[in-house]
Amino acid sequence: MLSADSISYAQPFKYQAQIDEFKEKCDLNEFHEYEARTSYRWVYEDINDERNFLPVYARFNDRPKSQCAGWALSMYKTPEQAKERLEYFSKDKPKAYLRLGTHTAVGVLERADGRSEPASEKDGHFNHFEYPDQNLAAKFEIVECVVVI
Amino acid sequence: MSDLQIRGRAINPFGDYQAVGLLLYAEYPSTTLFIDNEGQPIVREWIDCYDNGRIDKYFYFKTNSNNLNLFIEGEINHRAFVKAAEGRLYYFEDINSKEIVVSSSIFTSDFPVEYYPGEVFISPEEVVDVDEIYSTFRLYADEKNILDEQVKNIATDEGSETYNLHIREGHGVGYGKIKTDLYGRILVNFDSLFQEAAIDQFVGKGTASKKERAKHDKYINTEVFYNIAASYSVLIKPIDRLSFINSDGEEDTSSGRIAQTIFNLINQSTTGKIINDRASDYSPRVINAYRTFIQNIKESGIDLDFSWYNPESRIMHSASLTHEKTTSIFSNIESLTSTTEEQLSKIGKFEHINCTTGYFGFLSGEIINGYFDLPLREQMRQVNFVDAYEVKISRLTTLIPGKTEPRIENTLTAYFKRSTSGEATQSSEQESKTPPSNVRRLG
Repeated sequence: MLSADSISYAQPFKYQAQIDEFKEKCDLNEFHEYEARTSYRWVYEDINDERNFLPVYARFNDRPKSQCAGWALSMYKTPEQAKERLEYFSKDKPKAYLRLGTHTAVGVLERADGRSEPASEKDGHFNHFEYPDQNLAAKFEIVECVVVI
Repeated sequence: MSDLQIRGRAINPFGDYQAVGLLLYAEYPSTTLFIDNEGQPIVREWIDCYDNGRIDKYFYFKTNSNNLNLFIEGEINHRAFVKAAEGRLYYFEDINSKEIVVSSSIFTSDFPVEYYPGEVFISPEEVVDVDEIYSTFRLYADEKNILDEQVKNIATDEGSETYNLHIREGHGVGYGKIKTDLYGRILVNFDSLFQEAAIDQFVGKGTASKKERAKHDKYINTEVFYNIAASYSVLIKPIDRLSFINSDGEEDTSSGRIAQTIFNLINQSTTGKIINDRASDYSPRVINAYRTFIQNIKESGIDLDFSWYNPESRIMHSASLTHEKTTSIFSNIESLTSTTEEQLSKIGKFEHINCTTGYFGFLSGEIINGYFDLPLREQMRQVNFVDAYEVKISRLTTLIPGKTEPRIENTLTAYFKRSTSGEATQSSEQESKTPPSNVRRLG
């Protein structure tokens, strides 16, 4: 198994120190660099909003930290999948957008951006570990407003 | 969506608990699992945020590994999982930047319907911290509680809701053996608790005559149908049950309601303030039967694992009644005061009246003793002992700490003479319009 430790020698991630805390529980074998992977993510209307590209463990401090994936960014394979999932979360929780985002954005992830896993067949979700000093806000642009405030 | 207004801090009914992991979802922590000191799962559900995102609103509830497993495996939906909370007890918190702002305990009857999650089925693949959750609560097939699995199989074969009274430890308890008198007392006290909870369902919280009890005989009695050596486990089922659709449009059973009453009592009575607030949900008969059930376990020095399983819904309720816990529950019940009021209408004949004190005896199947209400004291002298009367009686039943029998106070608030055809022909000139004087006395 390729562990977080061995990955860190090749190219560290942005949150490498936090990822290292999980060590043997962090299986990164399925995470790869992609030449050009079109990806979708929930964001707020201003693409430079500081919440847009923070992993869940960094944004929600009270979440139990039990696996390294909490230091990755959630992405979706298609705009429909990203929108459907955001609508699913917001259905019974009218103010959930304040925590999740209001728009979908698209960007192309490249080798220099980090490593990501294959998308889930069920909902198209995948995790993406960023390399340091990457500015995804500059690579992503708004696709659609999903939640009208 | 309404914003449940929570004012003031409430006692957290679930005691201390530690985080286990995130159940749902990878993108946002909406359902989080904790473990309490007894090893039971505590679930935290994120409702939504309010006040322009400043406050997050959550509720907590206790469940068990059986129901947790059903939810994760997609056998019951999210809403059903929440509704199957142990004791139907929910604890709410409004949190502002990790600081608890206000909190409140609440019960199913008060639960805002819009706070229930959707009827969504999930699968193990969606569980975020799946390894931590499965290993902590022994959900892997080879780690499951062998006795629980055995009881579920037996209940399924029997096709009946089943109680398991697993007497784990104590003097007179061995592997597959138990002292006869201890066994007898546990069974009799459980049956009495079941019967009184059943009477609450079928007759109401007032007194129930022998005739009314006889009418519902098969629904208010239980029978032993299996014993397991483990130390000693006895399986009990209701003799019969009624099925119906409840107000939420869901299938329900009379015996399921009875089980819910019993487990509500157990969960609520672990906290003195909560059972004090909720005691009026139960008749004094139920409280007294429960008191005796708990007292017997406490004084016998046994530890009892108590569960109920419905093989159709596959929902389980369970509670561990250790000596320490029953001591605490008994203390809470002993300090309980509760008064319930009911209005009775009876037809019969007066047996005796004391014109000085207003004390009367009225025969209507059974003798009812009490006092004429003050406004009726003058005209009560016109009452005779030959004619039949219809009387209206206000009954206050007060649970007295330390007493096995409640105090019953009857106040006659109106009477009507009956003709031979059965119609009311002559009424008391002044039917009491104000609350009966016994209500005023007790304030």
